Amino acid sequence: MDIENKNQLTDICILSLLKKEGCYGYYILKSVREFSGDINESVLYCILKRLEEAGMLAVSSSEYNARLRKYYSLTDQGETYVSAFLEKWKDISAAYNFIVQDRNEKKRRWL
Amino acid sequence: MNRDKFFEMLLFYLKQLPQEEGFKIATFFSDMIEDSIEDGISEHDAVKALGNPEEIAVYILQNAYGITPDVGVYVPVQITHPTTVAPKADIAPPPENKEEILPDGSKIYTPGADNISQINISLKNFDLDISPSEDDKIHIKYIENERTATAITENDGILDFSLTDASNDGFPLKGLFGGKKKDATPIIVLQLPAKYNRNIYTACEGCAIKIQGITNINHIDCTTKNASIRIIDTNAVILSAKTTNHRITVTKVNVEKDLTVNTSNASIDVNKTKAESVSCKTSGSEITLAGVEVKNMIQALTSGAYIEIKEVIGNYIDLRTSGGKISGTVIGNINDYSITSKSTGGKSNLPNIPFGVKRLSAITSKEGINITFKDAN
Repeated sequence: MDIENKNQLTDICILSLLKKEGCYGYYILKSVREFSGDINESVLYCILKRLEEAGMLAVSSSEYNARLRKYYSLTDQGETYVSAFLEKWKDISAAYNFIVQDRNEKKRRWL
Repeated sequence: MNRDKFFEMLLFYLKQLPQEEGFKIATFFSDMIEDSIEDGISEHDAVKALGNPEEIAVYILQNAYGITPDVGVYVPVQITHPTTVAPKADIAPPPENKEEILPDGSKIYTPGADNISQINISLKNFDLDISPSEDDKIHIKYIENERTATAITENDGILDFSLTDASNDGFPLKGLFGGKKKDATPIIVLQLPAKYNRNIYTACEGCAIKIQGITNINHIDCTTKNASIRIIDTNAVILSAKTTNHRITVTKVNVEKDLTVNTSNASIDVNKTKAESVSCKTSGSEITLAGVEVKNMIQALTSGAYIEIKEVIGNYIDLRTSGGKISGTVIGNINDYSITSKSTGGKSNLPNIPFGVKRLSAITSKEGINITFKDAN
């Protein structure tokens, strides 16, 4: 799996949100907005549809306040996908930390 | 733009998709609006925040369906947007139970549910009267005060009514009537509509029970202690009446299957009654069966007292006592019966004959046996 762009990061973030039960569209949108100002309802719809078709998440309807609301939940496949991402990113994260640390650390012994 | 207009336009611009897909998208946006409103945003702002329906449709068609939009010019048309209201028909509101308070302070409880299939009545030191309802509802008329404990529950068609004396002195309504007299024992009334054809069970104590005019019941199990039972003009599939130390009277009752009547130290009186089988048991007191007609078996067991039968009909008549006389008339031909009779201390007018297909057994001690046969009219 390659983290090519921000879209894929958004996918992962949305999927990891769904580990919590009872996620619905509006909640997901509000949560994703915390880190991405680009997202809107139409974008979210397309992402959710794509992830559903890929078997990463499941959609169900249940009654809430006398109406049917759609709920999104993580499938086993989605869970595996997120875990694989985290595993892969352990290395990248280590590299990231190294880079950040290196830039901040003025006093390298051999400099 | 209001919500309806928004969906009308959105669906118009999504017309390249199958209607079902369009509705799916509209449902997603409808959820967004509903949840925004619940989040404290006005409907107007919530719709506005979504943006232009045409732009939404174009983006979704391209990105989610890979379709080049051919949206055309929107001409207002009437398209019903999908309703997101949960189907109400499946979830009927529970019918309301009703409680009225009469001027004399007594209460009437009327269960709202129409599917009651069992009524359990539990009373202590209150009498019970079961009678027909004047309308098509079940009613329980009762009295309570601080000396009583009432519980009414309704679950899966089972109605439980419990009213007990919590006074510890046996006079639950002393305050209400001012007196201590036992005749102040209040009567709780259970009224049943003619259509009620299920079960009634009572588990009472010190509670005289009277059942009158109930004609459509499946199973009546009428159990009390230390109080009398009277059942009059009543029909049931199975009927059982049990008490202790007080008499039981059954008059003009039709039971499709078994009629069971049990007490102790008190008499049993069954009149003008039909059943498949009748069983009467007591001790120390007499049993009288008059005009009792059964298809199968009549059994009367007591001790220390007489058994009297008047014009009974049955294929197997079993009468047993000790210390009492057995007498009366059986309708039928003596030649149809095989007869066993034994009176250790007295005389029996019955022959012992083992031939008939029907059976009569009369056994006592001390007193005699005098049973005659009479042709059916």
